[in-house]
Amino acid sequence: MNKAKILELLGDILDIEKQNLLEMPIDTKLSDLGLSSIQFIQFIVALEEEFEIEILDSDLILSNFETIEILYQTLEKYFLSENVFKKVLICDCDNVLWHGISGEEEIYTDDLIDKFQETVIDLYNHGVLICLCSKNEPENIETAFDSLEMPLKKNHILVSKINLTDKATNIKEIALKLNLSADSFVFVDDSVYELDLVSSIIPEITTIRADYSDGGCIERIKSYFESNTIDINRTQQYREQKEREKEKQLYSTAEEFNASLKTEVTCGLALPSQVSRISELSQRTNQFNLSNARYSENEITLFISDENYSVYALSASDKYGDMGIVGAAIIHKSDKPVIISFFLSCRVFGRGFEELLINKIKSDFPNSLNGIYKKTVKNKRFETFYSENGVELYE
Amino acid sequence: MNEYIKAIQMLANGEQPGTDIYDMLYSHNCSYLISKLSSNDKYTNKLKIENILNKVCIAERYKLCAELFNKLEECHIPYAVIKGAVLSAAAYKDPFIRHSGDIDLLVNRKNIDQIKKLLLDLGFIQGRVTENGIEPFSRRELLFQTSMSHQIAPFVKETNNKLYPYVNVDINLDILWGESKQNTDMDFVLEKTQDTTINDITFKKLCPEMELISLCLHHYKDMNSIYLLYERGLKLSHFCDIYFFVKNCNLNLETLYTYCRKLNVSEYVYYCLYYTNLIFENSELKEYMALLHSENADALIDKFGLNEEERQIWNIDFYTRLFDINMSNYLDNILSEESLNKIRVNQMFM
Repeated sequence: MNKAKILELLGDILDIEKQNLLEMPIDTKLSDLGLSSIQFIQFIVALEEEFEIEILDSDLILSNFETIEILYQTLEKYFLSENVFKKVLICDCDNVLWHGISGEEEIYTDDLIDKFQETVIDLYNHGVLICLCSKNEPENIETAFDSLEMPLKKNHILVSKINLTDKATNIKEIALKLNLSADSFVFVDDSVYELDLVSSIIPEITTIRADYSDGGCIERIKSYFESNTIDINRTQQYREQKEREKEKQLYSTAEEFNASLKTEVTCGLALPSQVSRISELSQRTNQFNLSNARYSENEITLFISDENYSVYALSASDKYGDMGIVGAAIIHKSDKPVIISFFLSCRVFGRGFEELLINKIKSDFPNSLNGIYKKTVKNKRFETFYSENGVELYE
Repeated sequence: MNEYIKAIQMLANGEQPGTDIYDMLYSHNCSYLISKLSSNDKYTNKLKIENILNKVCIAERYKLCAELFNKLEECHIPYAVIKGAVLSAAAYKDPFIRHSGDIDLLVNRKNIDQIKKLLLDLGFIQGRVTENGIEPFSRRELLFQTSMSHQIAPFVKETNNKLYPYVNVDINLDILWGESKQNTDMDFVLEKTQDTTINDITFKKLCPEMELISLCLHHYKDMNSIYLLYERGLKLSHFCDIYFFVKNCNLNLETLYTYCRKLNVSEYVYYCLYYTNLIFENSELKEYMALLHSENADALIDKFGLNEEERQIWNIDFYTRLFDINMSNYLDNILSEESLNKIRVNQMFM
């Protein structure tokens, strides 16, 4: 969602500079900026024309456009297709996971907080990584987790950044640690100031204000992770990955490293039972996704059942655990077969799995092979993968 | 006592008035009271034809909407048909005596996108009827109606009946008005429904207590909106609706009180009952008024305007404003330029 453009359109109608609007707090009321009923309609028309969207009748109520923050929330769903697959939920602690500030005052939970925490746990069970980012002392947060009877437990948390450093810096460090870009993060905090600060330093992150009086807050958080449909303990997978990375430092080649981990790889034509995971992998993979294509389960099913296509899946396991399907490719069979999609999980970078997959495809299509590569900011480091492996670029 | 009021009371009590009030009743759309006038040539020659036409229209409307009602039930979308023939049946024990031009559905805003799709799938068009057929509204017109009121732009469908070539369906999203800052609990309102049947078509309407609240709020809006007052003036038919509804429906006072409190609308209902009682002077009305009376209710009496900002005091008495003035001329002289502008904007889009 292009927030700057939205504010520019609003500014044009209100005769206010976009920069001035950008600097305003997100809880600024549009009526305080002088937005009249007629201007409201002009704004909707401008939004519809600029973004080629149609605002639903159910949204056409002034309260859905009351503040800049609510305006963004209302418009979010019209830009969902642009949204990056969200993978990480970062929560502030005080006044988010409980009421009050741990270490300073009495803290407690209630039904609304419990409902939020149950949602967080549900997301965890569906593979969302849960992290904490709070300006407090670690021991205060530890005490809160130990003393409060609440659904969320310490074992649900993958990374915690509890210190007095600014939250944007902490979130950047979480991104680095997880090897994920911040556009796959959703950050929940009760403070408008902190949300504004994080948004201005990391504009690609999605921020949500924890306001449980508004029932829509929890629904909005859930809506960002709706595509996480597979039950999977991704937190455990990331913990296993950490162990692998430690061990990786000891070996100089991928072969030695794989041997030490007792790696087992299966690579072959995909089965109908693997449709969900292949679809999910296509949605989640941004870096090693050569055509930048995303597929629904239905589309993968159609490819598997269509004799004009071959779908490959690569699964791996090692002494730290089963990684499941970590790579996939889709080939359009013809006189000149084309790899229309090739994607590999970032968790297995540097282990040579991509070569196993491309070699398997090449052995099945020995004559000539083309591959589609669509350059993006995120996949450009794999720009030469096809040429290095004897696959012609499909123009 | 005002001469008209005396005559209306006599008619309502089954007596024939000494004064000729036909023209006044006709200009105020009081078809039920007109039907009680004995040996009136004008009635037999004109109104009877209108009544027959009204019957044809209502039959056509409900026939055409039967599938819509079924779809709403199938999709478990809460709704209630309000006003029109449903109100006529409840208040006057005759679905055809009160003339109406469309079918009004009350629904929850959260279901509106689904309902809109159902209507479009059934061949309805959001538009106006012109001599060239149905002309779809522009996007700006659709946006204006949906965002500025508690209705969305009406849906129209062509029939095969030359007497009544188009059916109009209005979608109401609230029982309050667009200017209201209150949020109505529409889930609560639409829980209070019951099945009813007109012309063998079964559908949902509000239960009597909720129906009276909805009726009063609708009429309160008509009596207080500067735009509607300017366009139509005050109508005696509104007070007739309320009086005969109270008289003919077996209302549970405690339920009415509970619903009014829950929806925080007691003062608006009181306002309507108060003025209805100024016309009909009825003990039942007084009983209802006593139940709903409050300081907030008193504060609305003798005033008009739908919100605090535009509310102002009438400087002429109730009977004069009901029977004796040209309302638009009167408002031209007393409204601020800002209010008159608002009326002009509404006239452009509505």
